[in-house]
This record gives sequence, structure tokens and C-alpha cells, in this order.
Amino acid sequence: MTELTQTTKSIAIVNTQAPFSSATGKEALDAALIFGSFEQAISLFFIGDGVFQVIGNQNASSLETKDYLKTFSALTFYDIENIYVCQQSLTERNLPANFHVDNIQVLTTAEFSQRLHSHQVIYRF
Amino acid sequence: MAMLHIIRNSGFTSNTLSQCLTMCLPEDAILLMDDGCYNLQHPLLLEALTKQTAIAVYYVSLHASARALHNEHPSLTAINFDEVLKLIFTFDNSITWS
Repeated sequence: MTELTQTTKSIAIVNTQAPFSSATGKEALDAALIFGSFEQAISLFFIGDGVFQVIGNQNASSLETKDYLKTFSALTFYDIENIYVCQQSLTERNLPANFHVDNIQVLTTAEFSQRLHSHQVIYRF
Repeated sequence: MAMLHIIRNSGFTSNTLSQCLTMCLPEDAILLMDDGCYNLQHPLLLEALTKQTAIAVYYVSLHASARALHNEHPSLTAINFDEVLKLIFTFDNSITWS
């Protein structure tokens, strides 16, 4: 372990799965909001199919499921502003950088990895 | 910060191995456990070993032999659970990809 005098630990939540067909997206967002409510330093990462959670103009209510995507707007309420999306995952999926979540930073793979490495605790969903 | 990447499922059925390899930085290490041992002969991993030689790859020998997986590749190191524990404490952080 690095020196234990380190007080604040920064937490990274990595999203790798698409919304709706599994609950992992909702669980990851719930975990982020819970950490946020305890004023933890938290960042959200979206890679692979996880980027499907943040693309704009989705219409979840038409699926008659609870639209958890609306809860992403609660992130700013908890001052969670470090939200990173992997550029390569977007281009692989032919997705434009149009998101329904604000203050998203689209990072290259190298930057994305560097940023992820700087967090002490990492949860992958 | 040096990161330990733990993989516990096969890279043939999920993209965890390829995602992990894109996120690896030189002084990181990869630990293959449980079904992650099926990646011992995965072309992506073998290719990464040649290209990113600075990345160390460990696997739990018990899990590999249980699955009749044998490895002769010199830079894939078999370890037991005591060493797994040491490994976790030598790295600044870790991510379990699956």
C-alpha cells in the first residue's frame, strides 16, 4: 500500500454496459449518487457499450421501463463533474458526441487511461 | 500509479481482455484468475506481450491446471494465492474487469 497518511481517496466508476437490458447502468449511477451524497471525490468513466448510456435523444419511457437516464441530471446536484467518455468507443460505434448529460469530457484512449490510473478506488460496472 | 488489472473471464466470449489491454500502461500488471486463465493463449494477450513488454502478466496456477491449461510462454508467470495477496498490495490500485 502506498503511504497510509493519504486521507481523501478518489473513486472511479467505470461503465462498460449499455442501458435497459441489464440493471448495471442504473446500479452504477446509484452508486455514484450515493458516493456523491457523502461528498466523496468521484468520477464517472464510460467505455465500450457504456457510452450508449449517455448519448442524447433516447426515449426510454417508450420501453415502459423506469427511465433512469433522467437521473443523470442529479449528478450536477452532487457536484459530480468529472465525467469522461472514451473517444475510440464512440468512433467504433459511429456515435456523434451528442450527449444528454452535461460537462462530459471526451478523451482519447491514452488520456482516458491516464485519468483512470489516477484514482485510488475503481469500480467496474 | 501502477495498476493491477484482474481478469476473471474468457476474452473469447467477452471484450474484457481487449478493454483491459487498451487501458494498460507500461508499469501495470495483469492477473488472470478463474476463467481468466483461458486467456493464456489468447492472440490479443500474446500479441500484447510482444508489443508492450513492460507489462507483467500473472495467472493463478491452480486455476490454470484445473482447466488443463499449460503455459510455456516465459513472460506469463504462474503464482499461488499468497503471491496474489502480495501482488494486490504492491500496486497502487486495481481494477477487476469482470
